[in-house]
Amino acid sequence: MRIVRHLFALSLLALALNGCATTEVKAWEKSALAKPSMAFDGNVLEARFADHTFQSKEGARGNGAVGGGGCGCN
Amino acid sequence: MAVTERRPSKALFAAALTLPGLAATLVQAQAASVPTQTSLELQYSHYQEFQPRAERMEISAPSLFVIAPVGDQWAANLFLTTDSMSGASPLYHDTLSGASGESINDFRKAGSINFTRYFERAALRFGGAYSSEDDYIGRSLNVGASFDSEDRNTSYDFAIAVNRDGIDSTNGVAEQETRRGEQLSVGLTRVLSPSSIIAASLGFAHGSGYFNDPYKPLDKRPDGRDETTLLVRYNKYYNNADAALRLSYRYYQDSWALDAHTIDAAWEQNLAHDFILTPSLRYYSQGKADFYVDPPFGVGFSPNRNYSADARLSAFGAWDLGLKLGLPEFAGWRAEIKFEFYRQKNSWALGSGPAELAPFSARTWQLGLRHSF
Amino acid sequence: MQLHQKAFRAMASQCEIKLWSADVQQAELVLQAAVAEVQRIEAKYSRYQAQSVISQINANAGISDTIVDAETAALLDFAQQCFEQSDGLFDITSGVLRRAWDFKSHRLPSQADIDALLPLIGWHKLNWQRPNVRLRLAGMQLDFGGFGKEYAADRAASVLIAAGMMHALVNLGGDVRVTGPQSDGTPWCIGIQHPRHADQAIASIAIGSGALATSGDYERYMVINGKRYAHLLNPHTGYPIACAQSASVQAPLCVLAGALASCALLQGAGGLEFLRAQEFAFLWVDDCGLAISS
Repeated sequence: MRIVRHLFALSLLALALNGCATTEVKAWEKSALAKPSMAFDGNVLEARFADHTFQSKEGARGNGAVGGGGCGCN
Repeated sequence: MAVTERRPSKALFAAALTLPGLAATLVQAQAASVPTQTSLELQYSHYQEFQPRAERMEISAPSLFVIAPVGDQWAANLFLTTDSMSGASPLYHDTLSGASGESINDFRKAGSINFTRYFERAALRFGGAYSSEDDYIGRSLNVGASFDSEDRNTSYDFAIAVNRDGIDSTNGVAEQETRRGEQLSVGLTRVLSPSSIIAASLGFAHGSGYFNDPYKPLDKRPDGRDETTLLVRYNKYYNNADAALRLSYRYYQDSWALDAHTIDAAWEQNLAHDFILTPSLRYYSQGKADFYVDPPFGVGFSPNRNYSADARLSAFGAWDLGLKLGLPEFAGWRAEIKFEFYRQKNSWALGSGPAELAPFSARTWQLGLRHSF
Repeated sequence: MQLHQKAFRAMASQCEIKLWSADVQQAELVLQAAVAEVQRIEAKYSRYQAQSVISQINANAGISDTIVDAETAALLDFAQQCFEQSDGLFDITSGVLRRAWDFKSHRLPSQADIDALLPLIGWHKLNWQRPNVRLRLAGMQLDFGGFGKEYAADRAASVLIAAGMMHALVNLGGDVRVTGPQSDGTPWCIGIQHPRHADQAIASIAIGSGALATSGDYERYMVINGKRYAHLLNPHTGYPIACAQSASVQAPLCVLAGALASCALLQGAGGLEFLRAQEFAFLWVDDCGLAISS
């Protein structure tokens, strides 16, 4: 099963992520992480337009989130 | 000295937390996920394609995004956009072989609304999206949840969504066709250090229904598409440079045997006087779908088999270069201008190069405005 | 969103509160409430005001119990932890040494002066049985100066948070507490005073949450025959501790940051090791002026 293989890969990744964080980061040390430039979804509109145009010109779809509005472009 | 072996901070912290009102300041300060203010974003995007010997397609898309706290524990966000397309779809393989490029003049409107309920270390969200154009209606609903670990250094995310779409092509090829889909995603975000964070997510989508392109002659595709997407994102802040590096990698694979790799990198540099400059680079490569057939058009077509000459299903690579300038805040507003140049070529695909189709380029500019109050 | 600020003097220090808010009127009211909270704590625990809780306890020294309220009780418990966790160096009964050490006089006290005061020092000479507190010997003195300013900073922050001000900063003479980052998500940039040049910063630290407190040998001191005598006194000997120039600690609460910074300086040369054994970020400026950070 392909899905099982992917889940397995994800759990390995999860373990690796846990393993490489050697020291626990405290809440009061996270000021750099709180900067807007460090957000994963910083500029929603820019990202949505990019997703939309790339999706209509490329075979691959998906940006890690589910539930966006569909379109007839693909 | 004995003291150095102990952790007085633990005992002092515990004692400090019993001082009246102080524990509450900590809990609230850390439960920072609820937005504290309303934020309004407006954007105008313009996209234009170029291809040798062809009419070009243009898209103009104004869009709006609002996120607002609702009470102490809820937030709502609203997204609205319209896009007007004009011109022709790019030449590609089919038109190079003689079929005429279908002239497009389409208007699409789309919107979504989402609600999030925040708990101490969790958030629950749900919402819906709707989009409508001449020949296509998309409807979807989604629900998701995220959970933070006790130290808030790890967060897990789960989401599901369903969509029910209707297709009614303007040329009469597709009449009252439907497409439906179910999507699932699981994600993990982890703080690696005070300056770096990583997120990985895995998404599965199952779709069934009408997948042909009604405007392309002889186009016949499977009536289902299963997709798997792995996305890994990594952000790192550089204190000395006052800049942030954002990297992402996406692997995509579907039941049409199409697979794709996408790498994205952006460097957000803070400059003097509150200007922000962000150059970005994206590389994309895909392998062809198993029923895609290279030119000449129509060769290899059989009525009982799937067939497509859609260049989007061929093997190709693409580069995208972007440069964004953020302007200093003025009267409570922040503005951003972004220019982007995109180019696709078959020979840029990873692995062996297939037949050359006409290369394809596009440029985009966007103007964004943001106001918080 | 606009930045609103208020500068004021309290607890013998220059103080300021800054907050980001869209509502000018509300910002002004909240600023006033936060300043009032600082003034409330100053009045309640001042040694100089006869009606203060501290003055009452001190006036009853050697005579009778004083019944204290829950806030004072919690502060006494905190003081006990400071004493225990510093091996007796952080002692809120040591303020009585002020009678011998007058840093404005530029005169060293005699050994006899100090010897006369040492018997009046010691946390264990205090009866603390909630809600009753009694200094057993007449002449003993309690002093909350070791954490009063830090506690006031945290309390002012709690007033701001209660009013929904999640982008605010409280700075009471260098003891800083923030309720969150600035409104655009960027952290506050806080300069740490140079221990030998009052008008310069030796470092600046960005904090988006929590607190930063600094303890230094420069607050009260005198130099006699080239030797520096600072106000950080060893409660066992009655003499200033040969210590580093300053210690700054970043921690979630200002009282915690301040107590750790004070404990570190009171350790003398061992303070750096002490700070390294804790899990908080720090900046240590040693006796030669060399800055070492975590």
